[in-house]
Amino acid sequence: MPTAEIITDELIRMSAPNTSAVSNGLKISRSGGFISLCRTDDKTLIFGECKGSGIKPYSTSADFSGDSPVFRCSCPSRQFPCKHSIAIMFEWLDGKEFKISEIPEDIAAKRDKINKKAEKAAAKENAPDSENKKKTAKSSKNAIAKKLSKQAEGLELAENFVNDILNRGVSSVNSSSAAQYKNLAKQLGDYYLPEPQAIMNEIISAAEKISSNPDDNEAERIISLCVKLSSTVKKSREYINSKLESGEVLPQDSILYEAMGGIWKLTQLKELGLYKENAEIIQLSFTVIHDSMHMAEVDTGYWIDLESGEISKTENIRPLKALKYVKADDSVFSLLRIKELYHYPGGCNKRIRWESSEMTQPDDNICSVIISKAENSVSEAVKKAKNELKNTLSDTSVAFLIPFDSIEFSVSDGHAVLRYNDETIALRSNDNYPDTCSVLSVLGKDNLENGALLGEFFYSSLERKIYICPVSVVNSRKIIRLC
Amino acid sequence: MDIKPFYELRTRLYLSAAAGCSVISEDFRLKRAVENFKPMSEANKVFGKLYLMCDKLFSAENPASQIADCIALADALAVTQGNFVDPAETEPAEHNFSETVSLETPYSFIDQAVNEVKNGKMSIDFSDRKVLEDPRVLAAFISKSGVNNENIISIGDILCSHYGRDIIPLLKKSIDLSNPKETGNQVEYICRIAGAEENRWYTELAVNEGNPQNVRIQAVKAMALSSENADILMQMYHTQKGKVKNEVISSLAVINPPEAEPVWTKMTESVEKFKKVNVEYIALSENKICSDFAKKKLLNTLEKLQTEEAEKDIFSSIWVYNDIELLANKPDIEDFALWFSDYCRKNPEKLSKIRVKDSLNKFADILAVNTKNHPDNPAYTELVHNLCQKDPETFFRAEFLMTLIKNPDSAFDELENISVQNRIDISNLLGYVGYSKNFQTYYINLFTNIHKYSRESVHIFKSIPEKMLEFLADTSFMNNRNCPEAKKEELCGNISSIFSVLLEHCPCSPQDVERVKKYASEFIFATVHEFPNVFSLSVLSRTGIKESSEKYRGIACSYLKDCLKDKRNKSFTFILSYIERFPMSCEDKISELKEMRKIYETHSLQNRDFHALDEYIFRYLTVDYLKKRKNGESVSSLLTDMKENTLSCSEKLTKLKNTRESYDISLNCSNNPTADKSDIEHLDELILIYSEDK
Repeated sequence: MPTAEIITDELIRMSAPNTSAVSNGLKISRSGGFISLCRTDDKTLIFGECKGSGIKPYSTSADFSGDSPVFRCSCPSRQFPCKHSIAIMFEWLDGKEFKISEIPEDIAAKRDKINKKAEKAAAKENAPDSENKKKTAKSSKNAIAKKLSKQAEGLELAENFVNDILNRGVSSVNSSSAAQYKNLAKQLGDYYLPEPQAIMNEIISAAEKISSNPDDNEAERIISLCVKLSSTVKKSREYINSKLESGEVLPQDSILYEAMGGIWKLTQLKELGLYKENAEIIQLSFTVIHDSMHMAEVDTGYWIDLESGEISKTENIRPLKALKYVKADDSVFSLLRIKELYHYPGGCNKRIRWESSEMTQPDDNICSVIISKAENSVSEAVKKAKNELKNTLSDTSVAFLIPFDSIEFSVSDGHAVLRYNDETIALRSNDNYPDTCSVLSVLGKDNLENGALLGEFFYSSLERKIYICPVSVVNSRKIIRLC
Repeated sequence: MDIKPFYELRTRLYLSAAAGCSVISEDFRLKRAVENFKPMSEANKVFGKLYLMCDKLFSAENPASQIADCIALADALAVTQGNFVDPAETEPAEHNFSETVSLETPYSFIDQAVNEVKNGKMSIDFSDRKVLEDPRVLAAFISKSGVNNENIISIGDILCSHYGRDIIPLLKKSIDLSNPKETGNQVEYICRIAGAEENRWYTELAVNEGNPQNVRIQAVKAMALSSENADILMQMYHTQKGKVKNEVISSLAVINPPEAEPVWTKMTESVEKFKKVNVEYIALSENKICSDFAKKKLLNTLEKLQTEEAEKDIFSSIWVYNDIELLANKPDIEDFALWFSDYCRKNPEKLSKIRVKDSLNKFADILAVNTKNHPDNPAYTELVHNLCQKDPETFFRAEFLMTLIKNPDSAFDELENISVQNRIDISNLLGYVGYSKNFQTYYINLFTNIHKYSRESVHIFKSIPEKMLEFLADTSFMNNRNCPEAKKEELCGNISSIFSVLLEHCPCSPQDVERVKKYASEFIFATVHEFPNVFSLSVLSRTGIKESSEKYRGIACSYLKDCLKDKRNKSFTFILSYIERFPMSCEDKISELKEMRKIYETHSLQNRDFHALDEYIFRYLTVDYLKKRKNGESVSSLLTDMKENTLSCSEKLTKLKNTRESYDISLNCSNNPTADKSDIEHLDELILIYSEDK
């Protein structure tokens, strides 16, 4: 059973809703905000009384008895966990003295409640299929079939839109036609197709801009978006038709579910067998990417599976409208042991999620382990990347871990070049990671020898070349994040 | 295989789609591209498929849908055809930071630091190792190293002092010689790190007329560090024009080669026709011609002060102050300095219109800074020692500043027996001491005004020496009967102002705060009754110094009396805000305010002052009333006082209602209310009394 011993600086940061909560918690801890500090004998619970702005001190606790820590506090804050819960963890981390005490009654009662709930859920899970369950499944299937039919109607709308744009030309979109198209895009919202709707909106606003301010590159981007939308429509229609014909309407292991805007639940992924047990992963990079198409900030992390060497990614999408209310992710430096690691359908860089994890300090040889999982050669990685990139529905870049003998810089213009055996490939920043090449250039010679580079492969239609955008460098001593 | 027709076809498909494919059947360019592609289609199955799809486009019913498929296939083929090999000639990075790369700093923190560098802000601590050793921060600085922004320059100084020579290759690479607007700030950073060691590089940058002007100017400035550049600089003096030439003259002035003497001779031909722009060059040069001219110019100015011209010129008061600059970097001016100081002392009537003290202070600072800028030339140190020995009244400041710059931690060790005037000199200097959070060190700002030093902040100590605090808190001068009161007052003002700076305006190091507070409290309570000033009141009310209530008694009244000495008929309501912040008991505040009222009455002050004072008195009477009611004490005298207060009944009622409302809000909304229910009840009673009176 986990205990308070798992508290690390990183765990506190990861649990906190935002950076100011961490600094406020630290302030409380440093200013001696706690009147009393206690722990249970088994160290699964730490609790205490913290001075606040109220008359009575707040009762704060951090409970580690479950799969993930539970924080409780009597303060009126709506942030979760609040600064007092964070502060009590800092107190523990600082090695302050916690008096051994019995578990408070209210917390004991809450623990019981949680346990009973979990038992009930487990019993329900294990129970043989009852008549009720069958009925629910049937009605759920009917609802899904109905939704698919509706989506098929919506796809027709999207197809009409893309055909219209391609017939008239992208620069023909003036303000009045843009208004009509926007209306059309709004209608698409009634057909459960948020992803095609987002592409449509992006096409309309970009086309509206270039009609007054022509730009060849932007026109090419709009055409690419039209092609993507057209492909999504065609492939989705096939997918829906086959589902409706076969009667197997539940989502399957296909990227089309997401391409239409579906959101996977972990239970669905588990049912499809899209998970791995007892996975060990470590984060290689973390950044926040601004996604203008979806009007969101996307906390993006690349992770490596220490067993298979597979590069996956986490995406925490925070809509701009709700930025304040959604907890942001941050860098993770620990090794994560995960009981059930779920992954989304797809080819390379599958999106991963998990419910709970155990954090441990990576071994000293972790970098060597990571490097050993790198691709065999540059050309092999390029081949894999090309296979991924040529799919219209895929992302415009795909990440791999590439070994290198050295990363050097061009004598003529200073651009970085990765060398491995006799192969070379140029490194160049992309829109997701605009500054990483300049960070690479300051790393120094020793850091750029005999290691592996996590980089996003992308195709530049202008130069007709494949480039790597560097994201992180792993050498025998450390993982150096470039973003 | 020639693959060009494929790319031509792909481009054409994009262009047709962008233009609109309603008239695609007439698009002869696309047709031609498809035709040219035909031979390729025979070589490869997928090319063949693309050809067929494109060929059908011209007769398709729905070309829009078809063209999207064609483009999708062409894109997939283009990716497949994409080359990746880079044949460029490469070299490894020149520098090495393998041991100084910080790694485990979370993105949220580093992103803030990187954005601050990019936007020229500096709210976080850049001296934190986690920040300054992070390659992302370093890269952000390198990309902005050419930007003229005060914060970026400060961040650059921190990073340069951390990385030292290792950062030089990066700075060199970041200079964009093709950009005519390039600032060349990188040269200045490198110059500070490497000095004359990079002389060859500076010279290459300076002599190449194709390089951006600002880069050349910075390079010429850096060339002043090496005397072997004299010949090249002389050549450049004859061939260059404008700003580059001006910088060449500055560098020649610093190097001072004999062959440059004609330049100084020409520049100093006439005192009358001497141009202001040349002050900098004369000031920078150690040459005897310049030294003689500086003396001549100052003598001339002193003479001119007696003429009609001085009467007419509104700036004549700063003529001498400005001319003092010319005496910088001159080791052979001992006699002149002594004569000048003596002249100033003996001819107050002749110099009545000029800022004599300021000019002498500036002179002293220049003499001290000379020793810093010429550490290898003992003549400058000797000059300061001799002058201080012969004329300590004027030149003690120079001696002290020199010690403070060279040995900041021991500069205060032997100051017990100095004169009050010298104490004042030091206190004037210490008024320019501040603390830099980013460098985690104290600095002193020097205003010597010569371009090379004008930005000069000299770093002194990491923590305030105990001796400095003892010096500041030393109040023995108060008992010195020979010391004029005016000097005592000046010294009290200066030292209170230093404490105010250290505790309020430019806060000292967090480790020093408590010590500074202790000494500030000692000094101010010992002097404030006799020589109260706005700084001492500010320190007592705003810095968290907390002493017993009785210690604050009479301070505000003393200050009011002091103000009234020469500021009659002005409003002094601002003093009330200090009383409000003093940690005094309610009773003490009331009696202090009442005492002030008596002084007001004696001096027949303005009505609004009376009114404000009465408002404050009524407020504290109310607070005291509530406190005593709660404790069950007698309140009859307070009620009488409240009644006798000159505020009108309705004003009193309004005040009471406002207080009630604020208590009510505090009670209902605050987690830590300042009042309880009994206060509200007692306030209601008071309101009832005044409502009935009304």
